[in-house]
Amino acid sequence: MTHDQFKQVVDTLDTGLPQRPDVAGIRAQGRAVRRRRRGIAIASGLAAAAVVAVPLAVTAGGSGDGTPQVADDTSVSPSPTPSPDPSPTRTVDPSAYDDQSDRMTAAVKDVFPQARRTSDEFYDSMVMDGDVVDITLGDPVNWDTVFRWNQVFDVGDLALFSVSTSWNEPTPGIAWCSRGTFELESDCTMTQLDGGRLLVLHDGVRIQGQEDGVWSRYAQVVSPQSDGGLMQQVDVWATESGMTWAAAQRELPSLEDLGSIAQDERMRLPEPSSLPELPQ
Amino acid sequence: MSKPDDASFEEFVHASWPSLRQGAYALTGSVPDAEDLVQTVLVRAYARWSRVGRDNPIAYVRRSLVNAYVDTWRRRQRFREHPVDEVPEVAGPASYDVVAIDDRLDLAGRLALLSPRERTMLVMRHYFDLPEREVAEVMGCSVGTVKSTCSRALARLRIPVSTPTGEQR
Repeated sequence: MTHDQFKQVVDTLDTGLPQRPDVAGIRAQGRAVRRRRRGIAIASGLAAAAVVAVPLAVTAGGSGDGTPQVADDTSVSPSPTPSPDPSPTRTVDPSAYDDQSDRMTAAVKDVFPQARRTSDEFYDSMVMDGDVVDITLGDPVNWDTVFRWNQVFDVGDLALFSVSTSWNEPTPGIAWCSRGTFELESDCTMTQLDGGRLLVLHDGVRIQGQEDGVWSRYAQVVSPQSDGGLMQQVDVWATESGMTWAAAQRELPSLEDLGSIAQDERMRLPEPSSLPELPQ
Repeated sequence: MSKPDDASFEEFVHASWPSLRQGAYALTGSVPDAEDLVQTVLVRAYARWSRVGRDNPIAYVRRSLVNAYVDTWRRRQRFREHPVDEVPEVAGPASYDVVAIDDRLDLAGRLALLSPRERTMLVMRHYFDLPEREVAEVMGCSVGTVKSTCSRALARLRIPVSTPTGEQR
C-alpha cells in the first residue's frame, strides 16, 4: 500500500463520529479547564507561600451568621530533616505512571463511590501565558519532570471536587495554618502523621478573589523532604457555591473524608528527577 | 491572560475536524476512544488558544492527538486489543492484492492487528504527513526505524481480495 492509498482509505473509514464538531461543548470545556488551571495555580501558590498578608474581612469571633472566623497563625512543619546532598541524576521510568490515574481514582471512589471522574491531567513543565506562569504538558512528555497530577470529579451536587498530587520545592518554616493564606478561613488544624507527614485540614475557606457564596473544605498532606530534595504534597478540595457558609457546611463532605483521601498511599506520585524549570 | 478568539477557534475546528476524526479513529479503532481523544486535544487547544492559535494550530493539535494517544497506550488503559510487538506475517504478494477502497472496513480490522506503535507511526507519517524526523522524535527512535516500521506496517495492511469463488487471487 502506498502513502496516498493509505491516506485515501483512512479518509473513507466509517468512524461513527459526528460529521460536525460540537464547538460550543468544546469551548465550554476549554473554559472550565482555564478556570481550573487558574484556580489551582492560585491555590497552589497561596498554599505554598502562605505568607501573603491579606486584609481580612472578618474579625475573630465571627459575625454570628455563620460567617467563618479566622484561624490563628500557627506554624508547624513536617519533621525537619537536614538538606540532603543533591541526588545523582536519574531518570524516571514512564511505566511508573501506568496506573497513576486508576490508583488516584480508586482512592477517591473508596470514600465517594458515586464519584465520576471528569478530568485527568498531568503536567511536566511550566510556560508563561501572558503574565501568568502556567503549568502544562509538553510535547512529547518529559517523564523526568512530571511533577503534578490532577483529577476532577463529579460528586453529587458539589460545585467542584478535585484531587492533586505534586512535588514541590521544600519551604522551610512555612506556616501551614496562616491567617494570610486565604481570604477567609474558619478553622485550620494540623496533625502529625507517621513517617513525618503532616495532615492539614482547612475549613470554611474562600480563596482570594472568589465570589461571595463560594466555600471550600481543603485537606492536604505534606511529606518530609525526600532524599532528592523535593517535597510531596497531596491536596483534596471540595467546593460549594451560591450559599452561606452555614448551608455549605451541611452540603460539603466532612474534613475527615477529605483527609482520609489525602493520606491514602495511592495518591502518591513517583518522584521526578527534577522540577521543571521556571520560564524566564 | 487574553480571551480566546472564539471565531478563529471555531473556524479552525471546522476545518481540522475531518482529519482529526479520521486520524483518531485510525489510531484507536474505537468510536468512544476516538471521540475522547479528539475532544481532549481540542479542549486543550481552546484552553491555550491565545498561544496555540498564533502559531501553527493544526500541527499542534495533530501532535497533541498523537501524544495523547501514545500516553494512553503507555498507560495501557483503554485498549480493546492487547498490544503486540510483532504481528504475524501475512501471506506474500502472490496471495494478496493492493487494497481496494471498497475494502476500507477490512482496513480498520487490519489496523487493529498492528501494534499501537506501528499504528501511531503510520498515522503520523502517512496520514498527518509529519516528517520522519518528527515521528522519530515522538516515538523515541531513529529515522531509520520509522522508515522500516512504516514500510513493514504498510505491507501488512494489504488486503486480500476474494474472487467470486471465495479463493484469493
